[in-house]
Amino acid sequence: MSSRANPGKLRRELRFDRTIVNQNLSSLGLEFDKVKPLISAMNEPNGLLDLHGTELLLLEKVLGLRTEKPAVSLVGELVSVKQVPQGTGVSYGYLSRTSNQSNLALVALGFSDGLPRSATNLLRAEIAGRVFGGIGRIAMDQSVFDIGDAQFEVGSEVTLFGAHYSLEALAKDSGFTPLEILGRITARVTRTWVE
Amino acid sequence: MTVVKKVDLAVYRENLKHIMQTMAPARVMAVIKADAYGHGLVEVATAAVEAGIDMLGVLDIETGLALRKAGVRSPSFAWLHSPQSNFNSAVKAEIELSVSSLAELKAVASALGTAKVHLKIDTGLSRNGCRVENWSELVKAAIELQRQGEISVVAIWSHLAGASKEHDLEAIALFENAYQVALTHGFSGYRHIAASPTSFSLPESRFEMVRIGVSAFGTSPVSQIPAEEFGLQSPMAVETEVTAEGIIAVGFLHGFFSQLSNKTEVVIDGVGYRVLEVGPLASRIETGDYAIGSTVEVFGGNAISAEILCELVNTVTDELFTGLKADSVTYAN
Repeated sequence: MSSRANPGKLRRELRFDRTIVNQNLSSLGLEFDKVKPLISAMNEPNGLLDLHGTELLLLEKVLGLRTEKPAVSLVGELVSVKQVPQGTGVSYGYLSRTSNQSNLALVALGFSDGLPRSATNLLRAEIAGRVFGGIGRIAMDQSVFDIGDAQFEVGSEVTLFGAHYSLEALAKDSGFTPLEILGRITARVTRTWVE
Repeated sequence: MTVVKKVDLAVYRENLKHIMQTMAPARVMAVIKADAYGHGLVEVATAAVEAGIDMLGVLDIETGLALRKAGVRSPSFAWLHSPQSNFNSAVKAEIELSVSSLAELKAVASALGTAKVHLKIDTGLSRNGCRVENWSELVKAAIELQRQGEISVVAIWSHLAGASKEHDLEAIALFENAYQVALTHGFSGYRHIAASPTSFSLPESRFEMVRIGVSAFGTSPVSQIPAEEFGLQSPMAVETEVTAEGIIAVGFLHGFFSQLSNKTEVVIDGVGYRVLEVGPLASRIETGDYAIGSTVEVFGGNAISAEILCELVNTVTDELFTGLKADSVTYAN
């Protein structure tokens, strides 16, 4: 997917996969039409506030939030790539330093998009099929990944949770629940659907 | 309507006025990214302008354009761009732009009109910003474009990592070197590197402008020292209501961290009650002598402060504020 949900804007997407949703629905014996209120809720930043407890439980199953293959991913883009020497401190407080000469990839997603700040140094980014580790403090609007000697174009799509690193795994790493992280994704992240 | 976010804009304005006095002669950029730290973009921007702020920090072009659409005309500065960013719209809307690389410089210069540019040097944070070894080349190219009338280079800037005072002083020294290099190429603008923490704690970081975000929302710029000692008050309080015996209508889907279970208290009729368990949309609290329908102070006001609440779960107020999802927001002026 390279088309833009929001042309001219930074890519910040909460992306739902209709194919996985449909698979989950069929294993639950449910029709898509039955869960329309849930789907509408997912499309609104404050939508989950309108659901009841039983609907939230159903939502977790429909989205596979506690599985290895969730129907939802958080997608951003590379806004800068630059080479730095070994031992370079990264982000606030220099909580981490590069262990080698490295390319640092800057992604325009941070905790004010809903990424848990406590996942600092634990994040994993998928870029063009390769997975890289987060380095340094997750900031309000940005996070940094050590991509070693890899090179990607600025503007490349980056997935922060999804198939390579499930929402469940991120929740475990950060001390949140998967539903809580989903609920924390803020209004500046565009809700999109893919087949 | 259950969870209510109450924002007192008069408090925000007073904080800013106090900050402007403290920082003078340096000017103050009021940073209002992420929906003004969850306090409401347009309302806060308007309050900042009323307080006398003449530069708003908006993070990205889309936020700057949203302000223009809402009628806020104050100079604004955006620093996080994508190759897809709409520089034409930005320049037309008089949004000033950060530039970190030759590629970005080229894109900004090719926008219609004359972009006002802040060149960014990386002094150690390792996020955006031009590496020191490429700085001279970037400034030279920018000043050349200025001579051709394509852009106007109004400032150089950077951002501190706050790892320690020594590290910040090293970064400031790098910044001063970068300024000297810029001068040799003909740069004649101003400088900004300090955000909330060092604006207060390290006066030599102020230069001609400081950028103040979360401290204007009542968060102490220096850990372990209360915000009040810097003359800063919190403009936000969050309230909800008792919906059943021992149940209040605020949960983790409202941004009330699930990890607060058994850690914090809420206040009803002036009395504190322990929060036993935070659920998705409601939380269980100690039972007591309170009526169903009573107002519950969750944080701010007479309840625990946002800062202390965040210390309980080892985070910062920015994460609390920006993650809040209230059923309604009310403003006091």
